[in-house]
Amino acid sequence: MKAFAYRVAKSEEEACKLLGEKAVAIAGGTSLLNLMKNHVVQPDTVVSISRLSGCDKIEPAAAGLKVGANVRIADLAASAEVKKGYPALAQAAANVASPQIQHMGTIGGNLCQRPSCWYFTQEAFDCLKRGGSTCPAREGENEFHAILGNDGPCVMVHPSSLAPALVALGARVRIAGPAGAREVGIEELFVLPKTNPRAETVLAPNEIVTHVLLGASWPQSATYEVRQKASNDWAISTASVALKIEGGSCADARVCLGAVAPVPWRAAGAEAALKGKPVTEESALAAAEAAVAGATPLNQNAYKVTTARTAVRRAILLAAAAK
Amino acid sequence: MPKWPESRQIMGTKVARLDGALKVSGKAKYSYDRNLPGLLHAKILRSPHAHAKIIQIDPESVKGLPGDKAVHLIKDAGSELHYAGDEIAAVAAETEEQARDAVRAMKVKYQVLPHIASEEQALKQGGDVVKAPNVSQGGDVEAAFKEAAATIEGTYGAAVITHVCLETHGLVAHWRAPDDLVLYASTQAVGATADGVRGHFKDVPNLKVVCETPYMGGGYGSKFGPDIQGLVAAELARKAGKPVKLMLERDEEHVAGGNRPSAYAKVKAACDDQGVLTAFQAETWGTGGNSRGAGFPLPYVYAPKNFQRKHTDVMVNAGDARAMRAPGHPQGSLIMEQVMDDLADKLGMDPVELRVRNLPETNRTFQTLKPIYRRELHLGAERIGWFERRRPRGHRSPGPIQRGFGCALGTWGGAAGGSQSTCKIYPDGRVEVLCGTQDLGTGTTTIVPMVAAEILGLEVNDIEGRIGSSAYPPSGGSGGSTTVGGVSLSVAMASRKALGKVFAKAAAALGVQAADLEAEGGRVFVRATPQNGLTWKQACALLGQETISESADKDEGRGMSDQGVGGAQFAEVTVDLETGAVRLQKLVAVADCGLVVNRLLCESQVYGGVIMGINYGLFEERRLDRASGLQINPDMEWYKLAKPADLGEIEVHLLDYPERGVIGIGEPPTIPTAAAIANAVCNAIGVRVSSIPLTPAKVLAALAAKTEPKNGQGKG
Repeated sequence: MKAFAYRVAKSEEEACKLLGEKAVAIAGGTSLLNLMKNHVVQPDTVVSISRLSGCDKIEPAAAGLKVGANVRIADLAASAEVKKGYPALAQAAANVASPQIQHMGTIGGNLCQRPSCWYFTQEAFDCLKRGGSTCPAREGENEFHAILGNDGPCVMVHPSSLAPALVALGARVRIAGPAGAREVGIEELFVLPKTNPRAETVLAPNEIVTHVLLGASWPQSATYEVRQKASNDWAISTASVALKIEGGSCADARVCLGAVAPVPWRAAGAEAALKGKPVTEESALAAAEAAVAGATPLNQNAYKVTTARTAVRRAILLAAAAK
Repeated sequence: MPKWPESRQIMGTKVARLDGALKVSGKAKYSYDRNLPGLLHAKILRSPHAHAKIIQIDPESVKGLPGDKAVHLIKDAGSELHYAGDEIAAVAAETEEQARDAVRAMKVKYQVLPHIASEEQALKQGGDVVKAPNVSQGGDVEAAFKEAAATIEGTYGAAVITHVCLETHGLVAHWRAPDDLVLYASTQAVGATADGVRGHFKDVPNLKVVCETPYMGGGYGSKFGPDIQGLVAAELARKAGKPVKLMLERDEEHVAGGNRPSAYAKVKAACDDQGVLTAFQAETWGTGGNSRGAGFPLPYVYAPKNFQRKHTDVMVNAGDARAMRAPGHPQGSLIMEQVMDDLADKLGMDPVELRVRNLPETNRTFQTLKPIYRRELHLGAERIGWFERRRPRGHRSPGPIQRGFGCALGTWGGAAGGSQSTCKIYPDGRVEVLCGTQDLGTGTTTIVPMVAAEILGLEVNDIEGRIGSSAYPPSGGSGGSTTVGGVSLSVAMASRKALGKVFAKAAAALGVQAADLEAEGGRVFVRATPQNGLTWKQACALLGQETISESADKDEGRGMSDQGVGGAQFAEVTVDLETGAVRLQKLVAVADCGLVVNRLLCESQVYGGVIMGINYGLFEERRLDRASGLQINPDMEWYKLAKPADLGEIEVHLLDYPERGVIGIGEPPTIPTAAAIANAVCNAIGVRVSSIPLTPAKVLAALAAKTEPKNGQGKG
């Protein structure tokens, strides 16, 4: 690991001043430290943002909930408010890695983590995201890589378990930067490699996510994750679904897939397939088919079309069954 | 003496590990924990290429870096590097971080050469990388196929996996004097490790090398000698004049610490209408890395009269295989037992019944295991609910979750390995037992005092067992499940001899013959009149200034050990047809190991073996990036391993055959696990998955291949 200076930011203003091209933020540290040990990320300065004031609580807000970026994933999974109003998020949080990581990792860190792609995380490989010429996964070992949105220069899958749920729930994020704070819709936080092959978010090096803002509740929401192991494992495919069912038919639907594309993948086709219809096995299957209709699997990951379809269908049925 | 082998008080009971509290409290000092004054840390520079030649190397390029203390070149310019991870040079520095930085900074120029990263690629390319096939046969296969009642053809396989020792390979090397070297090594063979390093330093006259391994965190066959890192650490320590610690990192452990070869097979097999296997024809291949073979026993357990096998070792640019827990047998069981199931399915016979009909009359260990296998199959089937709950292959339940059952057999030797022990009895009653064996985590530290206490009529805690040092009487490396047999015998015999000396003194004092005496319950007494005796301390006090020291070899304990065991395992799985995810629900392991020495430790061995087998069947795979030949998952993140949630319920049954004597149990329980799981998955989904690990990708691919394309598999 390259030697680095360690600074603790007490306020978001201070954090933004300290951060920069060579100064990276650390919250739970569950991802960053590995990347530093592997010489994949080599900052001069590591800025702790764990002690920023006002960023460690789940608070009621005008429209819904205001979740500080430093809220631990375990606390998110255990929150009565989140479980009641936003079950898709609570379920996604409970799926994250291991209890150890859930207790160290934060919601902000989960959204801003770097890819878990095995080519990205090991210095030995010539990875496009790290300045290499091409993406070695496209023709290489891509069993766990993207089946959607993979027409760009990199075929990573976004590693966040929480992001698909937050997209389905229509969350917004508050971003602090040197010029002050701004708010963007959660979908606008993420960028495809064809827009920026080097980064996964729109954050400038001296910006941080400070809060996640949840609007009106979605009690009929759910997350379904497909993974190989029952214990600590990356998802093969995940789907988060938020529904509004009125008079027996679907008045509104938001569907987002995870672990299948370089960003959390909103499935507009699946949403359209559900709207105006009763939620049944048949309509859920039709929506799931629509969600993967545009899939372009690579040479080792055709099976992920099946797992993604299953995740969407099961998440829809779970959301519809929620009270 | 009505003692073991005639009767037993302590052996066969459950005695908790004597060092358990030390281990869980962190007080046990492993090699990693040896932090001597002035200790330096060493790291190895490894080839970044799967195949290359060193054009130029400049060891001077690390001189003057912070903390730098010594450099040792392992390979010179002109040397060929055979895999990504091949050792090139090593550096010792004041801190581990400085050592890491130094090896990164070393200037090396490589000529990159073409590499091979898969068995398919090797077979396609041919030439040197495909070894001459090994052919074995018996009977007339073709004639048998013509008369068969049922014939099957299938392909089966297993990926390369690595040992994943929790404590990685490595050691601390400390020159206490120019001719006195101590090694604190993580090793399965303290003697061979010390000898290996001594042999390396031929230039040092009368060199004394001692290897100390009081605790070690797993070897599984991969730690039988000093290895390159052992020699390098000693070289660096000598150059620097300070002790050097060199423990491999996790990625090095994966690429350079050994592995179990892959195994693939194309099989055609047939049976008669009674289910008796009549013909077995197999073409097999696998890779043991860049220079090692990938052989495994096949046909396995069952002995078809007519068989023909052609095996080919292929070389790839990857780290070499090493012995791994029951070398070859898990692969043999995996392939053979899937064939047996496929035959049973083809014939419409229950797979347990088909196995019973094919149990071998004799096996290579001179003793028939037939009644043992039969008992195991019966017990395992009963415990898993085989006859009530198992449905024929291809049966579908409503919904996506399908349940399946499978079973498999395994066999192993486990004879007593070479071992010597010394039993010392002091005038104050203290008893010391010295044996140059080592405890890999299997519990030998507890076995030694148990056996001595059994013979001497004392409590386990009365005995001071001393193992884990090459300075003690030589005992072999711990491989082949030979430790418990050898150690039990040499300890028992040394203890008997020493007790004889105590009896001689006591007999004189009691006015009887030594042969009239008995030692039990902490007393030495006259067998016919038990009230006539001495306490152990009183008896030992008769030694005066003398200390008894009696040594014995395991060969003196004839008839107290045996070899040749059979084991049966039954698995119950569920498979999600829509995700391809396999969940192990239950695994029943019925194990045979003759006389159980310590029931608790013995069960632990079976649990551990089963868990390794579950990982083999479901999760583990050393994946090489084909483009670069580098391992893409040299970690514990993408190199997948089970946690408790992935294990299901594991039920262990030990069959007691005390009359057979001690037989090793370390290896046998890992043999049939993956095969039983593969058969259970096939039973659940009605189709064979190409190879282990049984990943969602492969399960869904197998289902897709079976389904007619127009139906669109996996929907619903």
